[in-house]
Amino acid sequence: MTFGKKLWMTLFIFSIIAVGAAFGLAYILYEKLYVESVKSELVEAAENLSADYSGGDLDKEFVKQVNWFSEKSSFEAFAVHNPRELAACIPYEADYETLIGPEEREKLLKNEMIEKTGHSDRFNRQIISVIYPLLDDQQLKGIIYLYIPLERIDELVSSLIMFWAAGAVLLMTLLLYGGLKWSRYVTKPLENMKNTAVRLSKGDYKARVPAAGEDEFGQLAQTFNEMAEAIEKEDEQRKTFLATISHELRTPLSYIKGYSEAAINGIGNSKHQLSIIYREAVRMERLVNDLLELIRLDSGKMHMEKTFLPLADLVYRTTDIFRLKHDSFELDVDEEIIVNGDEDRLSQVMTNILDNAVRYSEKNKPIYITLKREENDVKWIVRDTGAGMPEEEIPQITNQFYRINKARTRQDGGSGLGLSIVKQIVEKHGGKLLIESKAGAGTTVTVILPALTEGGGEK
Amino acid sequence: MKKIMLAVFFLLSGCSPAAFEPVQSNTFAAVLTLQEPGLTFVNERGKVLAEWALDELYTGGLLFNETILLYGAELDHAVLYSVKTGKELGKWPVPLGVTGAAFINETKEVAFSVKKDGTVHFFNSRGRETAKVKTGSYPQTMLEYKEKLYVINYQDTVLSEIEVHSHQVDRTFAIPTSSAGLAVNTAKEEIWVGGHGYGAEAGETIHVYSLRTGSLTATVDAPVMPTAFAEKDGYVYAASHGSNNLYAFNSERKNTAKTEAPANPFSVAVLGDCIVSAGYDSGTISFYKKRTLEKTKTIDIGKGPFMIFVKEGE
Repeated sequence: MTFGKKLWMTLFIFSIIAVGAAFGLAYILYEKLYVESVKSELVEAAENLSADYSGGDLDKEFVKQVNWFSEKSSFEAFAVHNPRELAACIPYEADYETLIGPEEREKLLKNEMIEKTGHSDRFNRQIISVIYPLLDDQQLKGIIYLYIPLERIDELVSSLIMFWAAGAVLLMTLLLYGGLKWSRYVTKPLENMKNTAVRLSKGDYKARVPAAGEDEFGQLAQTFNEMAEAIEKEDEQRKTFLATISHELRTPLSYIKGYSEAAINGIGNSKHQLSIIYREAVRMERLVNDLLELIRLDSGKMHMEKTFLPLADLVYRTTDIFRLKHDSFELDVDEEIIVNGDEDRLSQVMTNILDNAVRYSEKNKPIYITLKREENDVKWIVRDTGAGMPEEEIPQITNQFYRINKARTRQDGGSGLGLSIVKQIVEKHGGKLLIESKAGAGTTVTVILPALTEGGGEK
Repeated sequence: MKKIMLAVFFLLSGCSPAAFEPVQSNTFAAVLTLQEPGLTFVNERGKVLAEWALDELYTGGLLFNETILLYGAELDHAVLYSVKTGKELGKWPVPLGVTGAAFINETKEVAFSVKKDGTVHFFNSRGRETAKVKTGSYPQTMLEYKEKLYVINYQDTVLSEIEVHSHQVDRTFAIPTSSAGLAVNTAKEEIWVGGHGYGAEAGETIHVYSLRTGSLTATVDAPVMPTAFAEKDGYVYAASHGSNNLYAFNSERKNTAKTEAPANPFSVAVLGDCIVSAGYDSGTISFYKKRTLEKTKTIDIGKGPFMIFVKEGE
């Protein structure tokens, strides 16, 4: 059963209950208000009539008076003094049906009035009746019997019942029709979402749910769309990634192919050709290694062998490697700093950052390397005064294969994976990577790692 | 072990029911109440001698030989108690639907009128049925007089006269239906028959039949619904429960006194020098002087007093 049908069924059941309850309420009101008011009128009349009884045997005058009242009022009324009718012979077995029963007689003897609603065998109809005792001392001298046939009341309300029934049918129809429309309206966003999900699952990543208001369904639709966008973006990234890899691999390959062909055919300087082939092979190797690294980091398969590591040592060593390529390094290193980290990976972080700094800086401009502790953080800052980059490029700089220089020149072009790898490694150490840059003014890369406390734990 | 002890206790207590308060007086009236089943014993001065709370609904009883035999229309047994000791003397198995009982002095038998089979059953003093005779529809009020048992058939128009030795109906009287209450005017050898009236019509007269001829000899006005009688020294006392009246008639059937009875009186009896009548609705009994019916006392007796049994000293 669909959700829409369930909703409709719920509405249907509730409307039946509501109509039933309305009927019940109307009946109770009829019972309570109308019947009770008729009863209280009967009681009042009986009390008024009985006020004229002054004890002793019931005389003809009194009986006549009650009969006169019966003629003039809308109630049937009569006075009874025949002890046979008043069940006076109980406990003798009565040979005919008396007007009142033994229990009623007992109540009347206690000067209690009897009110009844229901079928009377004596009158063979539904009646509301009041029996009022006429007591003299402890003797039941007679009763005043007042009643009104219930049919009369039923006739009165029968037209109302017709109205009620018609109203109920109309209301039910309206409720059901409206309910059907409403449940369709309410479940429409769900239906849309279901269809969109089906399209998404079939590879249509452009599929979106139409906007659907501000309610929970609307919010769900919005979230759904965000999810679809994320999937679409991921898909695009995957495609771009594949295209980029193909491109990145094809460029060195075409060099290798071209220069090796020239070498084979003996065209040009073969030494120069071989050196180019070698350079491109190295580039390719590095690219493949970086890719492997990144994939491992991405999939979480990269195993970190963390030890307590004096970071200053690592900074010195890495800087020394780069002294061949760059002339000036300004170091401000707190040698006390120890972090809990994987030496090889952190060395790679330093290498990648310095590689970028060296690549985009003039050879004689200094590169500043700072290592300091700030409260519970270790800050490892590499600042160059090189080319820098526009601010808007910064968020993308850690994306895979992202380069500021889109031309991908061989001279300044790395694999485009360096900062991606750095970011992943830093995050795997529980740290953060901050990049600040200004075009023409240089770039500052800050690696923040959790400091090691005296007890040996990270903060 | 505890359970066995308990079982033994109940078995023992079941075998020997607790006795009621004994009544040592030789003159008393016992009043049977229906709405609160019980027996109340009072003396002439209106003093309550003993109160027995009964655990079954007995609709009638019979006082003879210092014992009281209680029966019920819905019970299949009658129970015999000793008045002197308050102890149960035995249970008599009786047919269902007993409506009346009479002790026959002549034969020392007890007669039960049974509505179901329209028959009068005779039991000996050991509680064994000895004979039965069909009388009419719904036999009820019974009275023994001179070796005859007179039985009113309540839903019939026949008064049956049964010979107590042969247990045979030897004569019938034509009476109105719904008759109740019997008395014999010994002075005139006539039987008085009261009644509720027929259908909605309330009876207002007592029908008087000659015991010699069996024919209706007179009617006596005693409105409304005279159904209980007592006879003493040639006077017949009648209680009319429809109008709550008590009447006294002399041997000439002349009404000599009339007074108000307790509300809805179903019984009247002579106790020593008093006339006692019980009001079913008022739950009281009243004491009156003989003949003048001057009321001397009224006491509460319990809910629904229906019958008065009298024992007068030897």
